[in-house]
Amino acid sequence: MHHKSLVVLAIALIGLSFLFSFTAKHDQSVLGISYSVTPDELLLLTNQKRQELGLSPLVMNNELADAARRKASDMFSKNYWAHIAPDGGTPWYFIRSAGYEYVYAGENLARGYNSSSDVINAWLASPSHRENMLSSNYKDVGFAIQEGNLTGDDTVLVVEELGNRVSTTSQMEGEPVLSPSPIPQPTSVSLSPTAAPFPTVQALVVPITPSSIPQPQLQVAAFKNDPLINKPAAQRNIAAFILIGILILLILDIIIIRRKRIIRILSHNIDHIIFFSILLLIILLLTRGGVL
Amino acid sequence: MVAKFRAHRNYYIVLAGMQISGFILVLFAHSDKQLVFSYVIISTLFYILWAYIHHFIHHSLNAKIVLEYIVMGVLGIAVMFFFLR
Repeated sequence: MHHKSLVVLAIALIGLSFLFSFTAKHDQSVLGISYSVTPDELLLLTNQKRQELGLSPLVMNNELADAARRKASDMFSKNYWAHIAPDGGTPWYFIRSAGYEYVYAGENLARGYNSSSDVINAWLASPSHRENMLSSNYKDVGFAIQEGNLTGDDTVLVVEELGNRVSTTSQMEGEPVLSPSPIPQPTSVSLSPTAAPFPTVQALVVPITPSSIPQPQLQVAAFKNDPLINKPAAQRNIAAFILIGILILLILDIIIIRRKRIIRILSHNIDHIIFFSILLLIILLLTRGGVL
Repeated sequence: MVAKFRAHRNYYIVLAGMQISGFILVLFAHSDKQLVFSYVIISTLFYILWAYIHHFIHHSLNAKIVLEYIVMGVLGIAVMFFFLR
């Protein structure tokens, strides 16, 4: 591992990185994100789990699906990964602006998963998301699946909006109802539990018009994409392969020096092994998707 | 190698502590890859600085050693740049 060859390797990696970005930008059929996540599959898998637990199945709702699309577009356009937008906009804002009047509402988010079952399993593995998915308070659901760049990451974003209409629980009108949703509320929000079933954010929300609704950064016609090369997987495999190769060479060097009893005044292999091992751990960690 | 490790144990503990701290920061920032890359660069700079101080204290600092750590650091950053971009 001479310095020159290591520098050439570093330059080659940076060049390859720009080549990947260029190809992914101009021809997604060659290099892109491979995924297959559809609303129908998400609904089917959710209802299978609900029925196992004796709960009524959720029904796909167009207004909630519209709310989910608006939320996903807002996340891409404002570049945030959170339930509350940087400008204070809450999930309730998107649900109400889509025309869905709720008694109960909730939101689940997922990113970086390649299949519907991975998304559902990730939500089920998280207690708060599981509670949302399997709550008897919800009757309707809407999903949005959008691909784009979020916080520097080319990813597939899945938004699930859950709800129950006012009209279906009219017997509860007039009673203060608290949301079972795990979604955090901003501290500046003024709560008015008697006037509305949810904390209202009227002081923070700008009245919307259709033109003010942000458009998605990258609208996809289908919920499936199958490029020749899956970009995230290729990046992960190449990066991990290089780091593992370097670690093997460093460890082999230690073993050979020791067996041949070669006297070496200075050796920095342990330092480099610590450094590259941490980088490898980071790569392995970041290959997983995330839920919120 | 074992003797060398024992002699420099405290330095390695400091290095491992710095790198693990960087890893923990990445854990918290894992959804923001721009922030992750920033933490990687900071960890790498600390790694080079640690090497500089370590060899300076042991009177073994020279240009070749500094170059070695810089090259390793640049390679690490290049790998992470490729992975995160």
